Amino acid sequence: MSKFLIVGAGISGISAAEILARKGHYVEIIESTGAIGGKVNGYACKATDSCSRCGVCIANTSLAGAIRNSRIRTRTSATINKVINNHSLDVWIEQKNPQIDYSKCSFCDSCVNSCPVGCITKTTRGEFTQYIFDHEKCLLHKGKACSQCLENCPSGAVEINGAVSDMKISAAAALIAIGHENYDARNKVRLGYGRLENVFTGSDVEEILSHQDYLYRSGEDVAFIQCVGSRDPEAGRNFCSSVCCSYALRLARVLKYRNKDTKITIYYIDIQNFDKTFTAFRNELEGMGIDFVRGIPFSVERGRTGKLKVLVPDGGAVSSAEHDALVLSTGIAPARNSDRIADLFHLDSDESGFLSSPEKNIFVTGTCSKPLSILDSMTAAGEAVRFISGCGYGEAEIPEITPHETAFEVRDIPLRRDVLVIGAGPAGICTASALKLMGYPVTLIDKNNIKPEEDLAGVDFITGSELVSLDGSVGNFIADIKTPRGIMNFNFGVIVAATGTENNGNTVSKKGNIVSLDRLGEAVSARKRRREASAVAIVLDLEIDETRASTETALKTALEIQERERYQVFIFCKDMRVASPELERLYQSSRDSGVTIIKYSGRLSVEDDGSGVIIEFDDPYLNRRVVVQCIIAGISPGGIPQKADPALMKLLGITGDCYGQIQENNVHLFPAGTNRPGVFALGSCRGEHFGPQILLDAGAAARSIDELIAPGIIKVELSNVVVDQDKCILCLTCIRSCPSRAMIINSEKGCAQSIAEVCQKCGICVGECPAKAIVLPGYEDTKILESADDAGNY
Amino acid sequence: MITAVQKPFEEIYQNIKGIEKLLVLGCGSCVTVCMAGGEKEVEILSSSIRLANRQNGLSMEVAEGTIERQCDREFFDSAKKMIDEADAVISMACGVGVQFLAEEFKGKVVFPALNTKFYGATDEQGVWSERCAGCGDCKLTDFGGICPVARCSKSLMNGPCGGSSEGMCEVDPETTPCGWQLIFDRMKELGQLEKLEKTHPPVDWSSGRDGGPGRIIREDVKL
Amino acid sequence: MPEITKTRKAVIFCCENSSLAVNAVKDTRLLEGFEQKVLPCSGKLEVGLILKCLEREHPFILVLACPLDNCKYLKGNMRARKRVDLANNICEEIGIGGGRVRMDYVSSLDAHKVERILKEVREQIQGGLI
Ligand SMILES: Cc1cc2nc3c(=O)[nH]c(=O)nc-3n(C[C@H](O)[C@H](O)[C@H](O)COP(=O)(O)OP(=O)(O)OC[C@H]3O[C@@H](n4cnc5c(N)ncnc54)[C@H](O)[C@@H]3O)c2cc1C
Repeated sequence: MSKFLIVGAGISGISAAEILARKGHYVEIIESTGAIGGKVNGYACKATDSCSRCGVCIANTSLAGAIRNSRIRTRTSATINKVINNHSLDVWIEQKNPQIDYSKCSFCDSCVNSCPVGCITKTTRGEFTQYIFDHEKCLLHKGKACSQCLENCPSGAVEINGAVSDMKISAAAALIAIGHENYDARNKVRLGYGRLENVFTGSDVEEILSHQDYLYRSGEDVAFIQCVGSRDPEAGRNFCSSVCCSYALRLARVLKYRNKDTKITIYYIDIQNFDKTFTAFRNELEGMGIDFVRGIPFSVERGRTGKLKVLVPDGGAVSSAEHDALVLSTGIAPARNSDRIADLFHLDSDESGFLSSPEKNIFVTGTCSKPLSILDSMTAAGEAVRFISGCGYGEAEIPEITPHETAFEVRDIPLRRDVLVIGAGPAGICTASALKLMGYPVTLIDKNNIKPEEDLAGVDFITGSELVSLDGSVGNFIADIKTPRGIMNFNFGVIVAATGTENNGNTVSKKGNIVSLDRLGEAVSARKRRREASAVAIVLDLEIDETRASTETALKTALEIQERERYQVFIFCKDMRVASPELERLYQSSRDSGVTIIKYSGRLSVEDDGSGVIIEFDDPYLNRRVVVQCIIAGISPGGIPQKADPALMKLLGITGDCYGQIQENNVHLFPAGTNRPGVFALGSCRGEHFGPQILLDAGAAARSIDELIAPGIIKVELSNVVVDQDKCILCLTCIRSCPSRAMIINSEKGCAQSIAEVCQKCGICVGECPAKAIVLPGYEDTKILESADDAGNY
Repeated sequence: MITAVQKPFEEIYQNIKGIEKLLVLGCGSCVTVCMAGGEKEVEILSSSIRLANRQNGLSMEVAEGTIERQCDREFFDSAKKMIDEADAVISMACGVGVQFLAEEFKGKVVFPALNTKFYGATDEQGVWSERCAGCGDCKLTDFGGICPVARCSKSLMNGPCGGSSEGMCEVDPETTPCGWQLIFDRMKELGQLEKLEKTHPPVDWSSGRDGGPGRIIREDVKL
Repeated sequence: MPEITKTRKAVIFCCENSSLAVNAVKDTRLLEGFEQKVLPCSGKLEVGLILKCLEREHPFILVLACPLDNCKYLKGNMRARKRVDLANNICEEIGIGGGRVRMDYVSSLDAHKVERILKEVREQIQGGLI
């Protein structure tokens, strides 16, 4: 059990604290502002009738859980004054009072109501409630001895120790999670922010759409300008902020949904792929009538009509357009006091201001380390925790069942700690190794006879093996595995699928001039040298949008071929996916070395005419169809939908998304969860192909598994659904409709039955059962129908 | 199982005009499985009737009940009191149950709530399809386990008609596969195509519906 | 704000997530005349329950569920959608008029959207449209 210090109570800091606390550690969080939650506090839910997976709701749920944890203490309006990091880490802070200990708070509002000057504001976002003090108004800070909020708090959650108090915190290690500031749009004077009315930034719009349906008036004409302060070498910011396409497209969709008459244009360089079903998402936006215009406006002025007139580079010329309102999609810049924190903790800062730590007991995570989305911040924070606390990082807490629910019996169900990992690609191997390090017995199987390069000592690795049948449920799965030595029977607590995708290889032409991208290098080498320069094509985005993973392969291959003699490489793509600093650099160097990037729109066709390849496409700049001849073309498999193995999905009882990849695209299951408790999935089979991201997801999977199996038991409240044996006619409806596969047939009793440790108590089966044989305790029809204004008539 | 679907509300509602005490009686077997006449449907239909009555200013008592099966006398015992008290009963069972109820409670007015469809199987939740026509002379042995009587729209015994196109039946080319295509494919898979060369004589339909109301008497099991 | 004139309250069926948005409605007067029935998931809703509420003279049923793809139980909201459609069809068929049951997708953060919906429903009830 150690104590850790976290600087910054944004989603990164809070997520890390939650994991540390769960592992039994104590955490002090120092937050400079008066509010917990960081930037996420100002963000809107970006769902229409369907979720866009912006992650804001998840973040709030996580914040709500963390602040109530008695091992986490958050100090708001606190400043760090001094840090000494010799033998131990000592930090001196100064905090403004009053403070609230949320682990004691009952959220009764007594403080708000008792404050004589009304300086306390309650804010509620989803599950997350907090109280924010206005120190300008607070009598304590005017030299008065007011302590009304403390005196009236029934649960002793308010603390006052003078207006300002100092303290020293000693910790085993510190995690810096001070987040970011939005790039200051005022730097781009010509874009008009702060100068012209109705020019907003992305974060302004987040805020506005949390409480209003439009930006300026109903039925307005709004344009989003992407890459403001990102991918901008002149501004010293030659990197993609990686969150702006995602928030801008989501916000645009919300605006359009709330009013169909709103006209929306998005000015962009390259739209980044930020979601595993991104192509479907983008198609939806285009289908709604949202215009995508390539080119970033360089000037905004108030036109004669009173509208905002923007000038956009258009091929070699300039075109102009008018809009009612503009949204500048500003990127991620260093936190305001990032330099001071860097000095105090001896951090390194790169040319863009992102921080890293050379010290052994100081770590950096969140958007102060690199651009990250909310969900990625949460995953990265977990990974940071792993480094902070060493790998076998303490004992996990057995989840407590909150008192009001103990009307039901609580039973301890023992579970096995053995883990089965299926698939020995990077995703499977990383998960297996991480679990092994945490001390769990791991069996790794792969249907191919492969020999991994990594050291897998301690992992039971069986190649040439496949899962052939599966029974049981979380904590106690019974698996039959076909191995070269015959069928073997195993028991596992948890199963991880990391099986990649089925290679559908339909990218290759018979005449041999069209090959799969991963074979392009070889294929080019195998050709006879020609006198004249030869053109080689790399085709991306053929059917669906490429991800960062295939973009990386394409750029590396292009560079490698281009650098040989007499080759000119063309990359045909719809957009270049550079949402990662290393990709932006790779993109830059391939262009520098002479690789030509051609961005097409609509459909591109590739024909093998025997002597070479003919590529035809619509060039949006020239505004006509263009034909290019190359000697050979490499097609990226990433541009073609790849399915996960449907038989395995069925065997594991997990569902898929619209592309046949594992798991519906549902934020609640990010990044590695599935509909079935005890079964996890990650990597390509789930739609994530990018190496660095897979590593993070593997860590997250290992942590979720650890959280589940570390206690060795599952504490189950027996409030799961109950089947009336006499009414059940075994129609199987509940078994088919249960999302978590909690229903089984009890053949002795001859009726369906729910498995307590699997049942999520959602009641979907109750809603489905045609015999009304199932009851969710506490939600009987009579109880639901009880009404406050029942006059005794019903 | 026997499959059924609910009749349009209007048709059901017409029948019960003027009745003072009504019982809606569900059946807990086949029609529960095919989601047409189980306890859940009883609840919905009863509520619908009560709401419609209120809208039309009618006063009618509507009671609800569901028994195990309406095709076995003994199960009516548990609902006897309710049935006796009602002026009329809407049976949510298949046609068998409706008649059996009427037979058992002489003088009681009984209405059907369902249209009984066929002997079918559950393809997936919400989708049922016909498999057997109850012809009384099962020939599945000769056809690889696919019935020409039930699966061919014309019940042809010696190969498809000219209306089979791309594996689908002309009667409904969108959803109904040609039964004979299915038979052919299956026999081919089994390597038994030669069996199909056997000519089948005209079917004697008298073993099924055409022979009049069916009746089975088993002396060995009779009490 | 004018009162809803019907004798009984309108019912809001919501799942645990969307109920958070209802509870966060700032102008609580908007909630007068409504009573909230919280289910764990909107997929728990049954047509029978909706009709029973109408039988009990609740004038209007509002069903709130999570946005599609955001249901914690994956498809509960899609199941609820189908039941609401069926309930409305039945109402139409039995002559009491469809449109008495309304369903919206709101996330736990969508208090603002709930406010708009409540206003629309109030207008509909008071305008005698149902
Ligand atoms: C306009 C915009 C919209 C976005 N929308 C989305 C979206 O919809 N979905 C998504 O996934 N991502 C979105 N993002 C990205 C998202 O903002 C980040 O992923 C997230 O905020 C990162 O969390 P964090 O905790 O690392 O940083 P922050 O949220 O910035 O939190 C850092 C915390 O540290 C505190 N702090 C700073 N300095 C100090 C100090 N010296 N001492 C103590 N505390 C300090 C801050 O006050 C703050 O509370 C968006 C980004 C932008 C710019």
